[in-house]
Amino acid sequence: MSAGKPRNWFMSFLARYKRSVAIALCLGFLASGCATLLMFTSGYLISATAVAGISLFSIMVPIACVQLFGFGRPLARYLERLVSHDWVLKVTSDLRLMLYRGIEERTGDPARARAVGEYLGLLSDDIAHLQNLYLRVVFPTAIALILAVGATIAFGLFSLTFASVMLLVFALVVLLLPFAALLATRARAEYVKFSTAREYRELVDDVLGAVDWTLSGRGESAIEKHAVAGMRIRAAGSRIRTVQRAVSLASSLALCLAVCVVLIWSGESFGASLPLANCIAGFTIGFFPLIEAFAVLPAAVSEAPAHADAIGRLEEYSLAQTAGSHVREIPDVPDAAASIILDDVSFAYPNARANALEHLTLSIARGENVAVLGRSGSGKSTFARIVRGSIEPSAGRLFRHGSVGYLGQNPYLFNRTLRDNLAIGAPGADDEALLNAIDAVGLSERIGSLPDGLDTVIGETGVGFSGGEAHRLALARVIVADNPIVIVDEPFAALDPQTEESLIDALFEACEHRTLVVITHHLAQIERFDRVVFVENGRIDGVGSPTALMEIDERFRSLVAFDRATAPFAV
Amino acid sequence: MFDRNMMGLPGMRAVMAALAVLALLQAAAIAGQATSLSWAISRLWEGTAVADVVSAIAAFAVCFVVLQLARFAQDTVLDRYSLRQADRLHRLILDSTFDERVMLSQTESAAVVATSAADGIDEAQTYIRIIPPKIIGMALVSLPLLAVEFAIDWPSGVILAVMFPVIVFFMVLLGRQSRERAERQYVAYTLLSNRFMDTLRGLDVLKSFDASKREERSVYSYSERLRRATVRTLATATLSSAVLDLCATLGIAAVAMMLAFRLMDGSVELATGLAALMLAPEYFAPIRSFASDFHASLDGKNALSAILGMLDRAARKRDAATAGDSAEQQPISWTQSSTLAFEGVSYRYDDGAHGVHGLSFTLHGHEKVAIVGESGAGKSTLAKLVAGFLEPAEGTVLLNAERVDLASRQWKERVRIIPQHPYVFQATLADNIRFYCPDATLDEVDAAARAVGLASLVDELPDGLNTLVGEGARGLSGGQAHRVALARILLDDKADVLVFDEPTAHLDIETELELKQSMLPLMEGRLVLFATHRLHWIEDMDRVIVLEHGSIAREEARP
Repeated sequence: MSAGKPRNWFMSFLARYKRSVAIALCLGFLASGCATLLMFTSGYLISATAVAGISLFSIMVPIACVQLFGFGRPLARYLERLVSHDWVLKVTSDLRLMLYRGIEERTGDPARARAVGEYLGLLSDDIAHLQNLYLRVVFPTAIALILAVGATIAFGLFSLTFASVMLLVFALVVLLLPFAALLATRARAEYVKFSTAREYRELVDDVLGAVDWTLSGRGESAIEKHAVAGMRIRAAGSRIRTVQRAVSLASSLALCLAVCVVLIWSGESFGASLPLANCIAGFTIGFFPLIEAFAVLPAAVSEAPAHADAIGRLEEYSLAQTAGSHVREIPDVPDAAASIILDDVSFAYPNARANALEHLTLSIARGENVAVLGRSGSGKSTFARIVRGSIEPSAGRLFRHGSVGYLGQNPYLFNRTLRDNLAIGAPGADDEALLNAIDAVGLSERIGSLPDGLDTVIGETGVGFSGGEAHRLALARVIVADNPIVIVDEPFAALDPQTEESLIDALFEACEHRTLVVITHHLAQIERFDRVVFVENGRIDGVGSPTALMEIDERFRSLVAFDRATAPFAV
Repeated sequence: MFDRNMMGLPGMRAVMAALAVLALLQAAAIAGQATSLSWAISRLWEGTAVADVVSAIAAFAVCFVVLQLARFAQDTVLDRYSLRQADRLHRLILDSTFDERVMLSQTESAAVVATSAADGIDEAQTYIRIIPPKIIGMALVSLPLLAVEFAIDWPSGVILAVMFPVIVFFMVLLGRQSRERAERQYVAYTLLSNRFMDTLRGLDVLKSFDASKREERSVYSYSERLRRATVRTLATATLSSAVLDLCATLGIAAVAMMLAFRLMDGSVELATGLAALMLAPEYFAPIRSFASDFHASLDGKNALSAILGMLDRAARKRDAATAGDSAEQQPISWTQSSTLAFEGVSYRYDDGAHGVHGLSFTLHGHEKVAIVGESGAGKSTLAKLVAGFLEPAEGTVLLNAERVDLASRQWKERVRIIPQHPYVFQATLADNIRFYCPDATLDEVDAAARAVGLASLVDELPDGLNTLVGEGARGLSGGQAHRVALARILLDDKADVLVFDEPTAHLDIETELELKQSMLPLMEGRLVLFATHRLHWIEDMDRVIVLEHGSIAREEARP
């Protein structure tokens, strides 16, 4: 993956919010600094008061400092948490917007949309990774670095030689050892990441097909396969933690040595020369909180690669928005009576062998009801996409008079209020328009029974609707949007026959004055259409009114006969 | 505080005992470290030469190293133990999933099973790995250190001891308050956090209404509202740990100041004062560590209890199933003269969804029986009972007039179920077709594929039968997946009983018509149970069982 780019992108966020970042880092430094200074001043204070005959006045400053740092640390830590979360969430907002644009650009184009579906689940993980990268890797490391520099400067005030020795220890603990942990665990972390993803995929695959495994009598081999794969991955994870622990141990031993050196150095330099001797206790005891801040680094830094991938993926998405975002204008029809005209339209999906549509020419009049029939893969859904404008003809031209309302096979209800759901195509539609539409699809009673009426939240965390009701609401949405053209793609296939019939009634009623194109493989109520268009292998393979086709088309006759026979068994 | 689920894990008590020993060792090392270091500091402060305190410094270093090694050992013990437990639980889930008597994915959703086996195990493992030492540490590190503090300088001990209930009081108080507040915000909060994903899922709809550009602004403004809400919640939620922090640092500051005054009047030695001071932060450390991971540990706790609950249900199902079978281990065969009789069989789903009750009917030899009825009438339940996927709650099942356990492997070897959506594995087309007979040669697979009408697919695929298919690779259409399922049966001479569960309900009419031509020959010489609501299939059946509200309304010969 691009090694340089994610970093730039990552840095651009750092740059945009440099004030918040600076404040968060300051607070983090203050918190750890206060902890150190609390112990330093406490040690100093106790040593100072041990001198015989010391006046209360002379220890006022150390006492005030002890109180100040005692309050300062928790306060700074608390504010640091809030500020850094606030900042990371600001970045998340920006990121969501970028991702939204990137994905919006791809939607509707099936060749690119598949990847979107694949990544959809990963997205929230990726955002969590990004947050963790900032909060658990970048922040602690940055604060440890600042602390190390601060401590070195503090030591430098007394002795440059000693400060440079300590700088070496800090370099070892803050930079070298975490980096060593990163190197030592990298390959294994890579293995864990890839095999976890693969194993998860295979496990889901086999659990979904568990019935077949069981019936085939080969269940044991599936158990063995996944048990072993899981054990390998977990063992690798455990080995990574062993390395992290070992490095942490090494780093704390180095810090132990540092404590001894601080003690010996301060004893040599300040011994018995008051008030500097009071610093012996200050420096030594004050060093312990630093150990706490440095100890987390090996584990934190070696987690970085796990998060870095997510950043690469997020970048890939947000970049997509720049690629070819032009608005397609669909020209109006040249003929005042026509609604849709396809003139010699062909379309091929990328990497496909054959054209999905081949020289398709068709004119649909205003207010006409047309059924487009064909088996799956015949090109009828491509036809719908072309008319909707979500893909452009590879050759030929499309003319359209007015906007298109669309009803798909799976009506999606947003987890929002009913009002928001219905008014998607017509923002600001008044309640009367919404209630009329609800009435038109026969849901007045159901909606009337909801406690909050139009303000009821529906979907995942709200009120649930059955499949049939969801279809009705989707239809109401199209009515509210008031589009002159309505396209319906294999709408009610998954519904039971009674529901299907009543929905078709509602559809025809709602589209009385609109152009209606229904893509279907069902022949239920086919006689209600003005025209039937057969699509086969991307071409039109027969057009006519249902009555005319009944007379002349053998295939139509046999399909209708078969469809009659698929009517539900009379119970 | 102790989670009963975790304490009940095999070997946990021994681990806890080891942790207790290591915790006491840590407390001893911390005390030794503080006393030796404070002695060295006080001597140096008095002006003693460094050479004279070398032994104290060495003692400090030894204690420090012992402390680190004890922590290292503690983490290693738990890492190993949690690894073993995760491996064990993982295998148990897999066993129940692929075991013919349990078939976990029939009674729990497949997604839940897969998530438990992957993410759930990870969370539980982390929980087992990090929580025990935190609990033990509060008892066996903090308390001994408190005792040491009392022994060194009892007034400091009193301050530390007083701080403890104050901390607990504030944590409980603030914890409850923030929980109540979080609960109040919950609905609004989940709405906000779902908003982005929800919008992405419905992007197709938005785009078709030209609303997708307009939605951009709302995506951002909702995300910002979520940010403010999160920070507000965080401000309360982290308040308890901030107060705890404050109590700890103020405790240290109080100890320091109290010592200062007592040093001034000479009632304490410097070395004692320093040791008492150094022990104070170590006394608070385990409490702070417990509090900081407390919320994060809840996920792991829930994951563990979900996994154990699921395994418990699986174990009960397995027990119920094995209770029924004791004798018959000999293979079952189904011939023209076999009969399978259901007598008063009932089944209820745990969630109260439609089951069946009081089913009595007999299936004979190689007959073809249609099961019809409205959705929810119990067609699928009946089909699954015959296939042995569900165990009757009441009633008996007789094979050739003898009681039989349909959950047994012997019966399942004979049954093939063709569901509405036959599952296509992520594997080559050939391996998918020979799933039941892995030994079939490529020629046999090819012949079977062509016989069920997959010739055009095989010819079209870049690597023919060796092309990867399934989710994530080349997806197959509903009709093609059905043909794969039929080809599996064609290769499989053990399949005597075919159970079709609304197989063609969602296929387009032309595909259904073509499939029917491939299906009918397969049904010859086998017992066929065909759940459907399409009339035309009934013409090819011998008999019809009509279900209504979970019981048999009537049986009739072909209409």
